[in-house]
Amino acid sequence: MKHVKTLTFAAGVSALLAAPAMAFQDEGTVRLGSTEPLTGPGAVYGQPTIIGKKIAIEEINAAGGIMIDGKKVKLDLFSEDDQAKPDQGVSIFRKLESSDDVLAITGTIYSRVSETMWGLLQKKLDDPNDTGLQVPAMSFLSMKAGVASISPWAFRNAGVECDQHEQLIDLVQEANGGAEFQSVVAALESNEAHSAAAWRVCYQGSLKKRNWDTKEYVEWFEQDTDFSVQVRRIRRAKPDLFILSSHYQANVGAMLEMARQGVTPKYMISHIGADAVEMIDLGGKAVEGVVFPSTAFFADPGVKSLLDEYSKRTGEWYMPAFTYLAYEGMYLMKHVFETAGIKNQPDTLAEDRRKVRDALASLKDWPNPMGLKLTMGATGDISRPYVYVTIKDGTFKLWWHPTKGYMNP
Amino acid sequence: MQFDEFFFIDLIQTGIDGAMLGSVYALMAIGFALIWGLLGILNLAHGQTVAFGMFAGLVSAGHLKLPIPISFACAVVTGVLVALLVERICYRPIRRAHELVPMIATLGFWITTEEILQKIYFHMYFKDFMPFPNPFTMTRFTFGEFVIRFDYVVTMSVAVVLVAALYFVIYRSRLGMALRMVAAGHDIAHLMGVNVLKTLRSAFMIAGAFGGAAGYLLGYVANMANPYAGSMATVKGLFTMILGGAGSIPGAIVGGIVLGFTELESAYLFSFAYRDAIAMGLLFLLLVFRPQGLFGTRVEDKI
Repeated sequence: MKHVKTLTFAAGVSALLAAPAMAFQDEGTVRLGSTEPLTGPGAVYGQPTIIGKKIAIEEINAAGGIMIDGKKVKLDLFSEDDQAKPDQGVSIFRKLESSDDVLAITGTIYSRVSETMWGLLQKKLDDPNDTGLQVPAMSFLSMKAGVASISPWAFRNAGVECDQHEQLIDLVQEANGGAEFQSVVAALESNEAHSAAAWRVCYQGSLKKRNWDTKEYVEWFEQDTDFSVQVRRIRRAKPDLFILSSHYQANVGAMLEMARQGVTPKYMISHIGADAVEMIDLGGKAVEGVVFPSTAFFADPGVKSLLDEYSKRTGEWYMPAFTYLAYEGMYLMKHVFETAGIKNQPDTLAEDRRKVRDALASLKDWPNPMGLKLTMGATGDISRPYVYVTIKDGTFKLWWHPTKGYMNP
Repeated sequence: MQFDEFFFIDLIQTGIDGAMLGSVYALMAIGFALIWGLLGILNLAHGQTVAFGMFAGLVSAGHLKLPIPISFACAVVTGVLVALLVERICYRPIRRAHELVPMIATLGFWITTEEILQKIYFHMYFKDFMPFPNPFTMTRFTFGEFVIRFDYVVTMSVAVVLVAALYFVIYRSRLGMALRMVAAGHDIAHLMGVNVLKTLRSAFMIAGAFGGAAGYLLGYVANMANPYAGSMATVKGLFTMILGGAGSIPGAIVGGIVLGFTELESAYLFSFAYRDAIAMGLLFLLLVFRPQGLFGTRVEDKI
């Protein structure tokens, strides 16, 4: 009887250990990891992202799937909720890498979580002494400057933030007739990592390059509700260029106070944190005129079908750019999985991961769903053309487009 | 800080804005002070009366388009209902246990209801922040160089009326007499014929009404509502109560105004980035020299 129990136990363990052999190419799937904040305060970014991913995956699988090693397999998303918490992100990253045996891991949204997760990755490629994890990881946002440089296994498709700000400052100067600004004023949301990095690494560099000093500089916190002190100082400086390194919540509060105090800078620019429908819902007329960068304008004909599907699922009229980036990211993964020469077998997983990493690193002129050609840069960031969006007449409008020029100056 | 011709104007203006902002902090702190004064426990769930009050204001004014006074009343009633729930779950069944037990129970209530509120909120809205109706957001009075926001005036006026009503209840009603007896000692109050449990339930209801009102006014002045207001209210409310003197209603009022004033003045005079650190540092200094807070009574029960 004792032997029977032992044999039963051994058979059970063997079955469990053998289970992965049933997966991968044999079961007709390729595993892709995914982590986003799906609950908690970060869910407002995570939910639109996972919707973008799911729409793309449903489209890909409905069209037959992904061609790997001569066989069509379905994309199987292993989705986890990191709640925008770095410690939770680390556990999820380890689970996806080791227990779920995914080929690559996509996500997450917040730079602080991506940084922490990617800290687990190998820092030096092919270094036998570097025992970091070797799994390709790609975020479709995490805008903090330099995040993808953490590891040769880390990538990002949201663009290079400093390039956006550099170009936007050039564009506002051009719109200003090429004249120098007399009073540049900057505001920083100082308790938010992305905003702080955007200011210190990007905006300050761009201003220094032009020998422009800020006439006034103020700070606030993301959750502040009173901006009267800061705005009084902004008002005294009579800004003609106002730089907001801040997200929509603080932007709205500050711009409402600016409207109360009658502060009307000639140009107002913000980072991607202004790309939120709440800017209009909460700020109304007070936020009109602000210009911010975007990778995919929601009214672009190239994203219309995605916008329609997104609106159907959420009831929202506006789709943030990062929903598109997640959607694009799934098609990018499909392209890489199909062209990397992988076998998609349990025993080739390590080898396949390396091939996927190499394919991502050498990505060149890949035509994205909008028809733009994307190339991976040396820092793990995809360089891409940007559009600039403004808020006008109660809606988002294109302010500048790479092929159409100024549209709503 | 710039010492120029506008320095004193901005200094005074900042002080006025800070005091007005502080009136909302005072409303949040009164609920904490009331329960501490009567029961000697920190009601960590009180912030949820603020959060649910804000949510009720959002739904009634934003969603159902009810007039502001009715919407405000909805927020107050919601705060009362949440406070009654706290009393039923976290206090009444375990009131004979060590004082830490109900406090931990209120902590559990805070965390649980915050999660529940977030689930409901995100089920209804697909956004972190929703616009909170405030028809007076752009209305302001100008007196020479000074500017007063009308919505701040409304907020402060409501706070003054509520505090006056509270004082009337405490010093001019039978309930107030019972509350003062319970504050002096539950056993004494019981011997004097006071229904202690009923009186405490009323205290929770009053605290909840203040919490609900604070939640509405917070959304109103910020022009936005969110499901996380409870945590902020707990931190600011406790801070204010300790500053004013634990359990002291006048302390909660003055503490709120001092906190609002200190936050904005330190932002103006020193640094925006270290505003909270400066305010906390000042509180620490105050407690070193006056551990009982601004209005508290000194009690030495430790060697």
